[in-house]
Amino acid sequence: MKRKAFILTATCATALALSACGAPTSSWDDDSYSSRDTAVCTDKKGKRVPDRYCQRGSSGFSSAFMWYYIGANSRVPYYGDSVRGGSYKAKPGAKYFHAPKATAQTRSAARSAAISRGGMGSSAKSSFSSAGRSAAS
Amino acid sequence: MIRHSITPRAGWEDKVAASGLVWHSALGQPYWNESAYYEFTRSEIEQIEEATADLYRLFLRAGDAMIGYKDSEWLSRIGIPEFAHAAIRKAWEDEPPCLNYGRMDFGFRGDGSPPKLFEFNCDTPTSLLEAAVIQWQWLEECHPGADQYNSIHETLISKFKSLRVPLNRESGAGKTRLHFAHVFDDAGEDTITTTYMMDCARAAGFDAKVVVVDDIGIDAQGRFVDYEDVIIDNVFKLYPWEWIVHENYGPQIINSKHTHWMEPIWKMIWSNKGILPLLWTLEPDNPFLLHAGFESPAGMRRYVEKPFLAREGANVKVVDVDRGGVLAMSAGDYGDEGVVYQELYDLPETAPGVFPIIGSWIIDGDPCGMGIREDGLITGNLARFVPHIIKG
Repeated sequence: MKRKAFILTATCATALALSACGAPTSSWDDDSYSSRDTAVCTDKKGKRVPDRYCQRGSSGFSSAFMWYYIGANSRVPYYGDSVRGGSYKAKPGAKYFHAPKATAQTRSAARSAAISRGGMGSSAKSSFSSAGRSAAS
Repeated sequence: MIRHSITPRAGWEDKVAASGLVWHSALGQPYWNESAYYEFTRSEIEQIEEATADLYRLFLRAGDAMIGYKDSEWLSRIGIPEFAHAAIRKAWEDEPPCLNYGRMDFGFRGDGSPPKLFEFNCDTPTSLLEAAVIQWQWLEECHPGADQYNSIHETLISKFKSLRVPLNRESGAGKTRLHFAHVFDDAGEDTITTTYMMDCARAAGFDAKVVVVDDIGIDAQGRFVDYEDVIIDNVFKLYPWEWIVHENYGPQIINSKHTHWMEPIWKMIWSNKGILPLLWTLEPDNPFLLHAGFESPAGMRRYVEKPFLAREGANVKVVDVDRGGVLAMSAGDYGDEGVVYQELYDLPETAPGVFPIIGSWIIDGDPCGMGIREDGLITGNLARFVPHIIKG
């Protein structure tokens, strides 16, 4: 039998993120500056991505996507913006909130509103089965 | 084919989760089931391999036949909406670059009789990571002297490598970007399966990037973009065409000039169980087929009724007229699109109440491995994946 070396960097990192914990628990609406402690999801390059990519978040492990914690009264990045002014380590005892909904888009989309979204994915929400799974009898 | 009961490895949950199989259990019972394994002989594996290759040839023939009917009778008959017919015909004839991968599900008894095809999952097949990676890692640890019918991982990477040039031609110069789109699912199965495909693409030299389908947008020029507004040139989607065509972006995706979607829309033909009667019509003497028809059991006293598009074993009815009628049936939301009737195959009962089916993987015509799932008479979303070895 030939031994195989599987390079599953993204697979393992995503699995780790899926099983970790420590994500923000509440949402709030405001402008693009936070008045409360806020957590945003970032990729490995430190750019903000939608929160769902962190799902339940990570706890400081190396993963494909990580929560980034921003203190109150700080600028909240748009999708694709580099994060700064915060930390990948949550403050002990702090309660973090999701970012304002107005920032849940790219900066250019916020300015121009020229990009539409939401035209794909509705069938998955109304189906009781996963997109991929299929089985025979 | 022999089923052995064994003691699972200590800490097996952590071991398989560390390689990505976070959906190893469901509703309190293992999905990844290593309290058993199957032992095959080489000749049994060759039977499965031969059946897979031969049926792939027949699927090509059936695709040609279905597209060849100018009046679209077959496309309409299997529930494909008319507005998608032209795109399917064009994609079938143009053969756009794709993985062309899939999993044929077989009944197999290991008693010398041929494997029999249940269906071909080739648009959004799963149980991939467990077949390609997890069961091989189990083999290395538990049966280092044995072999396994499994070159899925290396065949996938090889196929991705072959796509670099054709996809790059379409997306311009530089390293070819390939997006990987999936549903954001709680169990993690779709997310991880897609991410595993992304790892294979990266190993093949692609600049791979993930995107959740809900985050895909359209810019002012009508181009598809991801959550960072990066233009999507090529995208692999673990999201079925029968869903896409009925969603808001369906028309734009079908007619997309800029974005290359994989797998291609012609997979709506092969992955639809409505193709089974056509296969039977073309080659009723094929040893790997079960009798299948549209209208009614047509004289069959033992048959399975299943919708064209059902997933996870939903809305399936197993009937044996001579044994009291309905032996098993499952609930679900499918069936309005139409059903097929397929001759009932006697699955082997390898343990009390346990019936295995073979998922035989094929990539662009090359059979390359298999996985086994166990369940009752209907293989549904609580089936258990069981590893295998080849002895001798």
